[in-house]
Amino acid sequence: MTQDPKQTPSPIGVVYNTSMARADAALALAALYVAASRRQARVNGVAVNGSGLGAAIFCDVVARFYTGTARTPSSNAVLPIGFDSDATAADPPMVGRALARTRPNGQPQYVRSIQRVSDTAAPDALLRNAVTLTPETIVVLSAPATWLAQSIALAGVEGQYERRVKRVVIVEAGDTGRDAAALKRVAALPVPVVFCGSEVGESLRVTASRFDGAFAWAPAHPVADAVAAGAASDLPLHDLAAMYFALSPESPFFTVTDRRLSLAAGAAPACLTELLSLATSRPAPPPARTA
Amino acid sequence: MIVTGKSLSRRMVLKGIGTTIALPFLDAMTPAFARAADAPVRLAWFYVPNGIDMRHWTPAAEGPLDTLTGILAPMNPVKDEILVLSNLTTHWGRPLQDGPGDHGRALGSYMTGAQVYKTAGADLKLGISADQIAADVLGKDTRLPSLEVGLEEARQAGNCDSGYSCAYTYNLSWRTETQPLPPISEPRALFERLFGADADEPPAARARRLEMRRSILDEVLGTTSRLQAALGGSDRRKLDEYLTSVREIERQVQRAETDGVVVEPGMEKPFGIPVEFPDYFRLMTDMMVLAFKADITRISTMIVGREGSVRAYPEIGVNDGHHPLTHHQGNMDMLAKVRQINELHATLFAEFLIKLKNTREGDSTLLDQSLIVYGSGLSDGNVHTHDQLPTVLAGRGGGFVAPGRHIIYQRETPVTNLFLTMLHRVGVRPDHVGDSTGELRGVSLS
Repeated sequence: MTQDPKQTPSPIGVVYNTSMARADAALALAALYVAASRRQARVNGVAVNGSGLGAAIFCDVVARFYTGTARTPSSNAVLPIGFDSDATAADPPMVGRALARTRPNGQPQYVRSIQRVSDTAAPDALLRNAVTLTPETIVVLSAPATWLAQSIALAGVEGQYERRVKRVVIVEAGDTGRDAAALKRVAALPVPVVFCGSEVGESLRVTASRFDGAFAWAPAHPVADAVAAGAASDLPLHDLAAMYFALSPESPFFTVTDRRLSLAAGAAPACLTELLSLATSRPAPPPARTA
Repeated sequence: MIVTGKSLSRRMVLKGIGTTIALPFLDAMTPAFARAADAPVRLAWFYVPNGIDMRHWTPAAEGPLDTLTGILAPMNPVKDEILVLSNLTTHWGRPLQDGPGDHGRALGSYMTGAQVYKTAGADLKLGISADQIAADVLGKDTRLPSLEVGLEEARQAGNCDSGYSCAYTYNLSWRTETQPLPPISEPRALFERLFGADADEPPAARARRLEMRRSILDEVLGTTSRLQAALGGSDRRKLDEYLTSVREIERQVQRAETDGVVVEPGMEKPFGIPVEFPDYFRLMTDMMVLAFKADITRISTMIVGREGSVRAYPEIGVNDGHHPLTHHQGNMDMLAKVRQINELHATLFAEFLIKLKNTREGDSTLLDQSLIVYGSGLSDGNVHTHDQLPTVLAGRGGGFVAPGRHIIYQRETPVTNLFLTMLHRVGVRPDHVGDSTGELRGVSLS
């Protein structure tokens, strides 16, 4: 069956501001691209701060893995990866394996379009541009809020965000709270803001062995490499839970009270299965175009 | 520099009946020991349409400019006077759910950093362009607050690109959100705006002068003689050179009006416009040089071609329209022609820069005292990309810029950051220019 892309409604845009320092962040990114392949979301932009350049390269690798290998995506395709070029943070160990992996001919296993900082995007401009790409956008924040707050402070942007941002989901794990003033600024946006506390991710712990064979549909998979490199005995799914909720706010797995996300009673096992299914699925093929 | 006992006003003009000719910068206008850094800085923007073949534009490495190749090769004579700036973006040129119309958005959003309201009607809405933000502050110091020039007759109404008004594809300068400033494309009109009669010249007198082919210099002969007698030798020579330039341009304007009125069988030549594009470009930019030299204005824009321009360039063997050629879809023959056009534009721009460089102003040159952008709101015209734009900044801005380098910025950096930096240099300090996020780092070495 063929499908005319013009006849399906535009999916909601998603902006993911992440430090990409934990394996659950890599899984969240995979889930986002799988949802995008199913036209349940559009990846408006990914911005990295709080981690070294390797984290941005990893996000680019994942983007290329799921969306193709275009060296320089046009303005009508995926935006580049935002990155805080002033930061001196180290590369998270989790990304090292995927970035170092090579093919038998010695070439990198995964195609990438970022080699140096100037291949990344200015984070404040990227976040602003990503939010305004679509009429409706969701923002998932799992990094210091510094750059998101700076983007809000740009001329004319607050009004744009107020009109376009349908939801901000803030992950309260890792270093999200490091810039308290910036986080306060983001939380004060006059749009629905939902905090995903660390207790949510802790309730959704998964053992590393659970991923054995989960990515077998690909001979090599950057997120599988990241999970293998980053997961200890088990892994809390902070970012993946937040991303899932962002994409599926009507899901019965979660409830929101006073802007805080909670896992519904007894929902953990089914929720875990659903989250992992989304993050590890083979992406849907692009829709065939009718003449 | 010769320092004379008396000082002339910077704003002194030669006046005749209904005629006003501004003077160039003379030594006698500089108080003793005045520094070149105090001289005014000029701002200009050159917009080239339909993007550029970026494969032959971007220098291979960041840092000091080596010998320029490809499309930039014509700029080698001035490579130490330019910065090549890579990765700048016009976000609001993107579709953003507004559908097709990239050409309509590209030019409109370039200097405003604003989203182009999609309409083919009169309900235009855009933003204030960078040059007009500057003109609002600096314009009071010169006879013309700003000068808008273009090499295609500017249409102001109608649908020029997928529902976008022609006003968006033909106007680079916007005085307000709703008021574009149409560029002057007719040489005679530009000449008279700069050097000829102001609006006060009686129409009958103007008609008589034109009919008699008298020079506007004749109208100011008396005051010219008196001024020359009061000047030192160096200034007399400068004034003489300047007036000779004005006369030469006036002759070219007259020649363009009287040259054959038929370009080819069945096609009339637009009145007063040189047949060959390079001549047209040179004539109009020569007038820009004189406008800067005489401090008639310090701010100018030049639309080398409107967005979506279908101009053919038979002078260089390109008989196809520019815009259709840019949709080459990888056709090597079409790509080669696009490159030829890109190189022609770059060559003519380099000639303009050389003229500025050869124009002394006090202890400096006009190019030293200028900040001139050459660029486009599209990079790849084939697929309409609005990022990784081709951008050159020429001139030193009165010692502010450290040129001769290629700087690669992070992607998504707004091109309006460059414009904001330029405005700050000339003492105009808006918080932002459209979607700018801050000053562009690295333009100066300080």
